[in-house]
Amino acid sequence: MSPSYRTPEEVNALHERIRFLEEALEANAYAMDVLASTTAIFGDTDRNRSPELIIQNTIESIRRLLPTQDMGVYVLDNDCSFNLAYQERPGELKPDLADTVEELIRDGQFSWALHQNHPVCLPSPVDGESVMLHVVSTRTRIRGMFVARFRQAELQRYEMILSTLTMVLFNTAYALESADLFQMMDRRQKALQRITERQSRELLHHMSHDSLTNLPNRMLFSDRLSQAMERHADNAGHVALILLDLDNFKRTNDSLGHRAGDELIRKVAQDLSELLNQARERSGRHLRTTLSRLGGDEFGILVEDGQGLEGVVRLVTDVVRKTATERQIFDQPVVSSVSCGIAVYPYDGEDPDTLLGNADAAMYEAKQRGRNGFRFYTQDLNARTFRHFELENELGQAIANDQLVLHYQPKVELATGRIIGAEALIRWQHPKLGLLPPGHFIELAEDMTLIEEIGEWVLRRVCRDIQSLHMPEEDLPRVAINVSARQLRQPDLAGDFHRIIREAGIPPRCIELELTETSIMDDPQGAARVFQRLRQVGMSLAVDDFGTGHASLMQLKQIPADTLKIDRSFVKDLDQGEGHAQIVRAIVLMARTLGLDVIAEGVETERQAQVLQELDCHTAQGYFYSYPVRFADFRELLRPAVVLPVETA
Amino acid sequence: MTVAEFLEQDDALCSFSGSYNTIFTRLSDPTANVAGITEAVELDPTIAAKTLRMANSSLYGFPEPIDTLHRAVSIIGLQQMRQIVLSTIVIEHFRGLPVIGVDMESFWRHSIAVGVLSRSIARFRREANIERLYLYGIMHDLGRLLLFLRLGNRTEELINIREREQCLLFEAERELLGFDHAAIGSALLEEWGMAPAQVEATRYHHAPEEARAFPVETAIVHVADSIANSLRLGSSGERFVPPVAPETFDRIGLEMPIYEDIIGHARKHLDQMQAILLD
Repeated sequence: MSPSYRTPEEVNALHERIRFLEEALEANAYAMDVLASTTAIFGDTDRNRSPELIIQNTIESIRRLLPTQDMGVYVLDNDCSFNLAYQERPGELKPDLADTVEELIRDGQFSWALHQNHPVCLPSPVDGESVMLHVVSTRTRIRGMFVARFRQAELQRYEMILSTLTMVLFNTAYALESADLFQMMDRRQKALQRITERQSRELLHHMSHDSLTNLPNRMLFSDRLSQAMERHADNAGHVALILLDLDNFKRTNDSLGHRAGDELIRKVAQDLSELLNQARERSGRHLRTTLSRLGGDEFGILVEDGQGLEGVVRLVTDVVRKTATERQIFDQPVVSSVSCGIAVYPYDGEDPDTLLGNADAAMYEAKQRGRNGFRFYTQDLNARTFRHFELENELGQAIANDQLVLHYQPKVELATGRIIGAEALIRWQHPKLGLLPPGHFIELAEDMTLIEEIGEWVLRRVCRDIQSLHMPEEDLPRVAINVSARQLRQPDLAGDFHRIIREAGIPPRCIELELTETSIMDDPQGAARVFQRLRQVGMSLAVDDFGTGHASLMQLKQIPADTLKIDRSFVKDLDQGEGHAQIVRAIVLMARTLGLDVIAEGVETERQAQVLQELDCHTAQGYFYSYPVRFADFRELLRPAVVLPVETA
Repeated sequence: MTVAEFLEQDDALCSFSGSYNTIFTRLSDPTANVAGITEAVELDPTIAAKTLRMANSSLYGFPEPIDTLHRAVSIIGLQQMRQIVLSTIVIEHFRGLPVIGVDMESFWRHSIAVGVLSRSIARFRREANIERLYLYGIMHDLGRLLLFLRLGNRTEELINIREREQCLLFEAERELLGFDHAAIGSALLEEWGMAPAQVEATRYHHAPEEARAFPVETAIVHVADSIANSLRLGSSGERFVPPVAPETFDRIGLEMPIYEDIIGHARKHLDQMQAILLD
């Protein structure tokens, strides 16, 4: 039984109180939830540490605490002014929250509220509503202001949990502060990182580059060299190491001063880099180069060429030629040539040090040989490649510079010693190397496709020489010209030759073309065809070096030759005794059977001439009779009074 | 004599009468809203006027005059207003009582100073409800007022002990009675149903190391009491400055230089507070 002495009013009051307490309990439970999750305001990852997200989290917490009409957060920026960073319902309600706040700022109530540690409820222009201001601040610093408008009736109900609001905003302030600090730290760290990176890059550059020319220094160069060698360890590519030293640099330094010396080094470095850039561009992609200043007046060039050694040598030739030039150094002309030493991986060393040492030795040799040039470390490469390229270059100029000459070796009738003709032999009067025999350059000319040009030149010169004899046509000697296999492949060799002869007014029979057995055998059908055409226009043909090319009788029969020329190797042994004559005997016999003439070359002794005659070979050429001679001398020999030694003894 | 016997002697002294009692009851009702609080305060014109003057004082520094209690409550805050009104009622209630042995003016000046200093410390700690500490400060020595009232002419004995022993007054109280004014005051507050934090802060304001549940509040009142004594901002009968327990500064957690600002802030408002509350 409950006591019944309470009045109805008291009962109502008690009911009211219970309702209130229940509501308060519920609100407090919400408040506790919010408090339990205030850490969410901070966020704990980098992603969450932006002020926008912190404010978003704050608003979400407050929504669970308070029923507001509208709310917003002002954040203090770096210029100490308040900016509306968030508004729940911008522009929806009149008057706008932002406008109300402007009013409060003007009145000074806003700044007053900044110094209160609790929510401040100010009258709103709207009836029954209040505007709440709550500072967002840490213990030491104001971060912003929370503003809200709500119904007064509701505020009374939620009065209990306003301290929760204070706590939430306190957390917000600290979250903003830590976000600020994190951002600052982040910025500093990034700046520091940038600085460190730049400085390490610079340091690395300083360590690996020469300060005067900004080229890689010895350290980086060695490194690149090792890398390049590794890259080509398993393939056929070459790595050429070129050491380059300015000739007489010390003299420049001594006479013009170190500053001038430095300037010269800088200019040479610049020229070299440009040169290498051009070379790289020309080569497409397959040429890789590294230029380095190794110290003093010494440069290093590293060349990798997947295509072989050709490109490398071409480049060095270029470097030597183009670097040796006059430069203006502080208005003084300075001529400086360079000497290069080249070592090539894998020939000249398996490791960088050996390669460097050998390139150095080669450079020293280049200096010894009079500077302004290059030397390969490997002697064989020197002989082959260096000469090859120099000659190639010079051979191109040889015709224009009138450096080619013809020597004539008479062909003699053995029985009478009478000169019946000659073989025209080409020589190159090289400005430095002297008179070069064809063996030194014909192959090169063939490679360079200069051979056609040279072939024509020979024919024209022979024609001119024959003309200049001013002899009756029937007395004219027959002159043999050597034709190479490559010339045979000219589209219309016969036509070209015939035209030249006709223009010169020389009877075609005066020109004999000699083709080696070997080159005929390379392309028997082609040779037969050309020979046929040449025969038609009246020129005669000889098979040179016969007996060395394994021509079958059948093939020989198909070739419309007039003469077989017995190779000097068979002739040489003729004076050695009976047994050695067998091959010559067989060749002569065979020629006779096929209806061909026979001539022997390389006759050096009287005995050889004698044996040849015995073997039914009646014409010959060789030192026994005459060395190849200049045309003027040949002309003398043709005079009727001259008779060469006859085998009569 | 025990503290309980001490309090039981005179009911009238320990409870409010008339409108004060009504206001006190209404304020303590958690269901009370702004209108309810306003209504209660208006029951007593003196309290209403003093409360409004408090709200308009420099302590709150509101940029515009606050002309109604209703506005004062909503601006200063419901909780805060409760504490302000309570402290006003307490001062009004005890001010009229005939007390021998203490200068009432000086006693209340001391109490208000401790209130303002406590509030100021809380403010620098950026606590949410600083009026709470103001109330604790104002009421911390109520026990002594009760003590003097009860002792009547025997107060002289107490003073004699203090003079003879050259000790602090609360030590003399313990010698004479076996307990001191802090025990009396806290017992009274407990009876009134005041917050446990206030009871403990009052109980241990001379022995802050013994406060278990509310050490910070206790430390604040303890420090404020010492500051008020050393600055001679009124007196509740002490001749010497009660020594500050060093660990209380750590507990409050403010840097020492900040106390300069705290004292400056308190001094600035003290005279105005005194004028409002004691005229």
